[in-house]
Amino acid sequence: MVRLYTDSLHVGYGERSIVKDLTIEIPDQKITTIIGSNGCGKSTLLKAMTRIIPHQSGGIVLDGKMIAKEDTKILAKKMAILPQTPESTAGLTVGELVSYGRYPYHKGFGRLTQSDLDVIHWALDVTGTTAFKYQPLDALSGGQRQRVWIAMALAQETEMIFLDEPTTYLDMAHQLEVLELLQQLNREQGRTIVMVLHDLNQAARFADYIIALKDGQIVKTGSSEEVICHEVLKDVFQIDAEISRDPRTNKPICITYNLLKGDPNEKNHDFRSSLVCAHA
Amino acid sequence: MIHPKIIRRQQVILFALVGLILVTVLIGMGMGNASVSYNRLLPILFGQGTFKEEFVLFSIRLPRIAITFLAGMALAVSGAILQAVTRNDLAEPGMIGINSGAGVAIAIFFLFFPLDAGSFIYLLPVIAFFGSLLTACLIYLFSYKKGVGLQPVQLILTGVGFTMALSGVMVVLISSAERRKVDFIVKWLSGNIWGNDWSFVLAILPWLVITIFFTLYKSNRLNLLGLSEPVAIGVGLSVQRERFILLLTAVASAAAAVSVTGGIAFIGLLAPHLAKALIGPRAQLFLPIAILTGGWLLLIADTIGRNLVDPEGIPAGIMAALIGAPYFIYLLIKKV
Repeated sequence: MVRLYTDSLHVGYGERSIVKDLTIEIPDQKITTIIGSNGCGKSTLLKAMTRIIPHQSGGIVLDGKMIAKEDTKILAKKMAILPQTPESTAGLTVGELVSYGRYPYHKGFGRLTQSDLDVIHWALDVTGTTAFKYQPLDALSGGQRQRVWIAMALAQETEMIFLDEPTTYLDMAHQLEVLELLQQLNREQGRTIVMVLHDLNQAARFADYIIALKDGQIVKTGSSEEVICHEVLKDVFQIDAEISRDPRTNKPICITYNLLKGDPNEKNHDFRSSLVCAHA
Repeated sequence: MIHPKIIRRQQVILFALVGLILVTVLIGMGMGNASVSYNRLLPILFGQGTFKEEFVLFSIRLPRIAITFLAGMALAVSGAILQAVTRNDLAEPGMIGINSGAGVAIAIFFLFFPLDAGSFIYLLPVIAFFGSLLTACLIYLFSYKKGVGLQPVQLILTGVGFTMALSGVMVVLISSAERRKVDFIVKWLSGNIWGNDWSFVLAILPWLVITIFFTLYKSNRLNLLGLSEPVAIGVGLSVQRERFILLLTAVASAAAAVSVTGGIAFIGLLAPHLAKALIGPRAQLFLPIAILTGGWLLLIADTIGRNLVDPEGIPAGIMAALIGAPYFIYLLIKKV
């Protein structure tokens, strides 16, 4: 059974509709990656699924209940979010920030219990941030900071973790580090990971399931072999991509690409149904 | 998850503040128009003073000290909340129309409603309180957007706009009024602590006790509101609801203060700021320090103010501004 799905979901800002009539299922205990060009609605979809922004119509259902009607604290025990550019208060220490992840479990004045502390220590430990426990977040590098935010999300002890471009602003090594940490959490603890990624090769390498969006609608969903292929990329990004195999992981990899010329709006949307992709 | 050292530091700072407050109170008790010599303080406190000494101490000086201290604490609580809710370190109670709203309400009543002197002095805090409450509510309503809810930036902009507009109204009101009445209003606006008998202390005490404990209880939520909105929602905070409740707390506490002291700026900005600089931004740590600092600062401002110029002294609000303005400028420079 799928725990989280959307049903003809519409999300927009004011008059402008961003996500249109979207029906998707998020596979359990898998890594799902949402890809698409700028402004295609991938971030908006992620925000709507995590109730950060409201949706206009349709439904988002988690464990059989509409999230719009569910208590926000109960949701916070089920899903954690790492927004694109999270902001912290100046001078806040790493340990304090991570301890805020325990908020959904707090009662009354919210003193941390021993079990809270155990979870916080585990979250710091698994993200390799224990050493910075008493340091202010502002003093850390971008990569370290990102790991601290992941630690805060982990302290929430949720089965689902949503991340909006978790690798932005990180150098190549740190990008990989973050993604491998997420993969480890998925493989070892069976956590469902849903993230927006810009880098197609990273998406292909780490995702079990890819959702390719264009203009707020699904172009293609499936494994990386099914989605990262010439036809889909042509439709989603208007690029002419050269796809090969990563010699190390045997996943599809986009080696080089050219921009497609011409007005992308003239494209026939029925084209999607005729997509033919290689299977693994 | 807090370093034990920091907790110890908080205790030391709180202890030092209590000491400083006691010293200031002691100095304040002896100073004033009719000075009470310091070696007479203890005997008077234990009922050995003359009638005159007892009158000066118990009916004039102590209530004023109590009022000043309580008002300072209330402004600090309000400022701390507003800085967290707006995620802006320069926020303070004046920003949501506390001073200007109360000022206009008082001016209107004072100029256009003939009230007899006896009841006026007790009606004044009520008028001021509802004036600021009404203004704050209007600011809230005007910055609320359907669908999006309340956005901090919008609140700040609307607040500044309202404050400006109300200052304009004030000028219009005052320009056509008699000299004697204008004097009173101007003094009220500059924060001349005028509610100075025990009944005023009793009137604002319950508000203060409630708002302080409520705010301390909400410490965790204040912490989360200081993070960006998606993060706060993500850990399960009902952001819109908490913003509303905390704003209401901030308004109630600052309005209670302003109703007995007149318009006082800067304390609500300064106290939380100093506290955060001393101990960090975690509400559980800085709130108690901010509250005591607020009370202490206003106490100092008033003690100096009322002894500086004879016979009426300089209003505490002006003294607070004299202390606060340089710090404010320092903050602005540091930010840029």
